[in-house]
Amino acid sequence: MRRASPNELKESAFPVMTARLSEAELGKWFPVSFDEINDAWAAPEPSLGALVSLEAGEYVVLDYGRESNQLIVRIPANLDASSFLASFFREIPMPRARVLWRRADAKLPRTVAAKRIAVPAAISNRAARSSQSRQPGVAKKK
Amino acid sequence: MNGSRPARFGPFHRRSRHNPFENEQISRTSQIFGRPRGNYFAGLFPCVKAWEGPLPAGIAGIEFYTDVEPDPSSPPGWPEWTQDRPGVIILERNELVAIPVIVTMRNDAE
Repeated sequence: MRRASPNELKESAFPVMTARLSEAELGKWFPVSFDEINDAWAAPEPSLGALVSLEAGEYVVLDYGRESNQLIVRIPANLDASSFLASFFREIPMPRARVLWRRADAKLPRTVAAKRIAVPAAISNRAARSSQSRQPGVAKKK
Repeated sequence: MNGSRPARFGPFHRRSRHNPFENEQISRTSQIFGRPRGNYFAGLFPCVKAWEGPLPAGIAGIEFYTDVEPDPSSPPGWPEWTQDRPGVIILERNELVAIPVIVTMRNDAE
């Protein structure tokens, strides 16, 4: 992802998702510079904002409240919300549990934050042997 | 008006810890103001922002109701009233808007 310049997106953006995360996580998952918004009439709380371009090319507007620790994710109206979320979660390793709300037309991709589980060595070895035995030219031992 | 509600929509609140003059300004004008979030993208229009729900105990701020419907696209918890929506007052196009409010609670100190 990269921080986009203001003129790269000239249309309105609408909320597609909110999530709760710490400011440290914001910096880790979105390694771009954010603008500080301290004007009380501009934001309901001291906030950080940025226009970001994802690797897939979609633009996303990020607003992060420093008191509530909530991130509001906005996208242009012409963007398909579910496709956007697929690109978003492909690039940003945010666990599904952090999502507080998403728009009704926005489906989370199935692979969001799939939990890593440790496979016991015995099962792992058996799976590897089974895989080998299915390869052409590998004879099964009886 | 619906029952004992002073206006159609609410309660909402603003927190004024970061702008100590805000409570007085809202109480005096019966309006809440809104500017664009910043200038980090060109599609930013001014809108009034608030927190959903009553003013929590011990938090400095204003609790209010309004007859102006929040933007339908507002995410839960974060009502907004954007320029050109019905009832939103344009004080300076693309710079400053306001909505009329009825203040139901004021707390000046946390």
